[in-house]
Amino acid sequence: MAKNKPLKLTDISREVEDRLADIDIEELIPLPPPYDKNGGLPGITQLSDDQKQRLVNNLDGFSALALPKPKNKEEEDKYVRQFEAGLKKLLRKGDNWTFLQPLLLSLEHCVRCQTCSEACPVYIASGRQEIYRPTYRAEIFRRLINKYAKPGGKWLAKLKGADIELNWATISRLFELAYRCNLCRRCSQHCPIGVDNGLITRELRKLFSQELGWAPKELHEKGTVLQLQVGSPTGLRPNVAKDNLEFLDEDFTESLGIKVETVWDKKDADVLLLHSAGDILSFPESVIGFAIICDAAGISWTLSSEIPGYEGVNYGVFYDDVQLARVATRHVQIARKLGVKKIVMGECGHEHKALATVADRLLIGDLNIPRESFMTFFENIVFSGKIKFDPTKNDFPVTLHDPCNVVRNLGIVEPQRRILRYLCPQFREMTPHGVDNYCCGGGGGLAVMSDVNINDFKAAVAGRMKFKQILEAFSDHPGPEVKKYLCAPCLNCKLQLRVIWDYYGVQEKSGIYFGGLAELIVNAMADLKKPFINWGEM
Amino acid sequence: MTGFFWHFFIYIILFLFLVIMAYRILSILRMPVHLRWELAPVLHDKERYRYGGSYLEEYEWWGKERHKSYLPVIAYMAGEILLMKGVWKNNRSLWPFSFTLHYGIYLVIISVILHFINAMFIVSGTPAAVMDVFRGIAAVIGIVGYIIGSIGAVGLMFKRYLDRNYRAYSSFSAYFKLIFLAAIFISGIIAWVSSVNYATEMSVFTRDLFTLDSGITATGALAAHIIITSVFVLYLPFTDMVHFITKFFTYHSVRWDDEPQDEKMVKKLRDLIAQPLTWSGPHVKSDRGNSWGDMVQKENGKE
Amino acid sequence: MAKMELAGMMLEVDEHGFMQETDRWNQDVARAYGALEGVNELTEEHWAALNYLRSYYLENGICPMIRRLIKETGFPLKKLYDLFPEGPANSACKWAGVPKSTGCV
Repeated sequence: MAKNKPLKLTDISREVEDRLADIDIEELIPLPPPYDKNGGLPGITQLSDDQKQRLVNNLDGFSALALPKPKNKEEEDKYVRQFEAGLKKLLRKGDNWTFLQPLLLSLEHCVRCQTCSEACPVYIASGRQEIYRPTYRAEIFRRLINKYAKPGGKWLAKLKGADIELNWATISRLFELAYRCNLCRRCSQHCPIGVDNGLITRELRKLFSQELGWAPKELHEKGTVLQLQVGSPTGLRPNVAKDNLEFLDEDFTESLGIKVETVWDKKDADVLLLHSAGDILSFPESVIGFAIICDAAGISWTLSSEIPGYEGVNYGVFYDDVQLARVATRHVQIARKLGVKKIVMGECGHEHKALATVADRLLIGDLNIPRESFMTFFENIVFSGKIKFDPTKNDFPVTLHDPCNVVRNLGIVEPQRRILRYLCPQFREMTPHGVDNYCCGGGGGLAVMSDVNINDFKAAVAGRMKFKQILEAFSDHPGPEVKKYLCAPCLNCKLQLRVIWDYYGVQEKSGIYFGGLAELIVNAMADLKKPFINWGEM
Repeated sequence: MTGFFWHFFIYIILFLFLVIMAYRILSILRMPVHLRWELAPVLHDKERYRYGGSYLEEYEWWGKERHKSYLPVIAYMAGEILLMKGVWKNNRSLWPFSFTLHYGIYLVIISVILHFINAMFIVSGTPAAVMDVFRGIAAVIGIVGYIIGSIGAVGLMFKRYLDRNYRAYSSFSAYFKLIFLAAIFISGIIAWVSSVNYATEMSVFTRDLFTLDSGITATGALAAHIIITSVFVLYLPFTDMVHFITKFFTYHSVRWDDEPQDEKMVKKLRDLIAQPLTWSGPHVKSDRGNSWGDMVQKENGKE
Repeated sequence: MAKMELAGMMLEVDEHGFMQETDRWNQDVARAYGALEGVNELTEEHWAALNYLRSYYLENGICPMIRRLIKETGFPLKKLYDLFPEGPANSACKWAGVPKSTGCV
């Protein structure tokens, strides 16, 4: 459709196959050189003709969900009826006690002041595409709830001039649109009334999942379902996890010249470390770093090889309360069985949010095992005097990315900064930072979603603000000759950064490397003869 | 119009207003405990609130005492109510209209209170000099409120219609609210201008209302103003404008609700978890009559 | 589900062209994948990596860590990118007929 024609809310129901927006890379907010126009912009992969035939493609030219087109009108109508039933269940105490109060408060009090729009990195980075505005999806959802789930709603919708038709086009577009939001909740922070559009988006996802059984494959079928069955969404089984760490222990023992040994299933240890399995597979320095730090500090710690005790992720936070509860419960049951004093949550933001707060009111009675962030755990160790540090070993430019789920959502802001200010002489903040940070663009489950061409959305649009501020934080050394470290203490953020890095070729062009917090701590340990951070050399 | 029409009309409206507002507030209060969904900065966290920190920054926080302070909460709320600080900071082009509209409302409410005080003075026979001062203040506050309120309401109408950021989101009911508000303020201006002594008339009207005097009277522009305002009071509880009260809950019951589970809460949670769920997604397995608890303990996704 | 014709067979693939029925894989499929990415001949080095990947997958239900792949084949990461244009995860795994890795890897 024509780019400059203003979009109406009712356009979501247009029963034709055209898209509501076309994303043109030239219209996105500009990046600093060499990622500006003169550097040659990477494009956006279009759907193939075959994909266009098979898959729903009526939103913005991206497909995160590869939703197949329904066979006939009956199938379409069935889904529409299910969606309508789901709208009603969201308002029921039995079905949705978990979020009923926050949902209703957010639905009933928005005054459409649009203050939230300018807070949203996706909306701004996209060159202010209407469909990505936080209130676009939220207001449509609100009007649908008002019309279809409340008594007299149809009549009132007409009277108030807020009538949106629920049809196949509406729900298929909303399904994709629900996954163009990082659930970072920056918009909610900016709302003068306290309305939470991030919550509304999650409730929309939840409706799709809990009522229609629709969710991104990577989050559900190959996500929480696989995690509960075999142990991890990566497919990593307990014996393979142990085998991999055995390999890593040897590998690092050899390369570092110190003994590295992972502890498994140690009864009555003080601490159960709950990493993400993806760190074992893709960022093993993080997992090994934890082991080195714990041993050096004399901590009694263990990993668990029980399903899913070595996989701390909980994708339920992104889309489904039932799966959220199942995964969180299994995590603490494992800790209870081991008899540990506390769980230390590893470098994974949404694991933090799940275990520290969201599931806190599900893990009641003897399931309420204390859960602590690695940030405070590390701070305590670093400043305990048990380990000798030589900060000059970290004498390179370092900046910090704040994972939304740890910082904006839990208010854990300073411990990591106290560590970095102590151990990294060239530490500098990016702007904005702390609780005002921008999401990496992989939040809300997008980091693990990679179907069709959604990675291009993640790199070009959702992660754009973050990428811009990272480059600006290192503007004193823009070239690749000075190696720079971006501390991103969250696996999901690192996975998203990897997508951005591949898309733009950041390592080659700018010499920026990313990793976690554990790596910087180990790298600064005075007794370690060899450097721990290897700048991508393998 | 004179006599008991006014008493009837205004007291019924006030009664309905209070009943509906009470119903709305009670229904929020009676909603079940929800899962935690706090958002930094949580302002009651002593000292740490400055940068958005929370008690989770404390090593082994569960063994430490929590320090809460409500001063920053009050300061924040005051900044919001009195200065619209959030809108000033994050949505500057809206602020002049939002600010004037809200201040129009505040001032009109203050003038109503002053009329009420004057009514008491009249009843108690307070010296005329004192009453004159109060009436003067009420008159000035009233007209200033009407004028800036009109600017705000009309300005917002134009803003909604002309600014592409707002137009698509502005339903008929959004304009209706603003027209209604503008009608209050503009009818107020007309009543003020067309009356020889507006403040006295209002004070006497209030006294008669208050003392159930059958001689109560208001005519012409003043009557129109009072009727429009009263009907608005009845309309308000049905709209998002109840945020003047419910904003308390969006903040205190969600954004700043960082209470860890306690015994009282766990009791409630046990009841909630015992409820069956009816979601139809295949993984929920609600056809087996599962409660939330069963679904996690028995149907825990192992197979 | 998407379909794709490779080496004279109609294969079920995901949206990125990864095989969904790993049993139907044979060496010609690997060659055909290679050709699609402009590698017209698979050398012994290619096969060393592909065979290791595939056998590891069949045994463990998951692709090996990059570190392991490097150690087992003796090829540094750069070399792996030379052999497989899109890298180990996106090319080598695909050519070896194993599903795309998902879930925080």
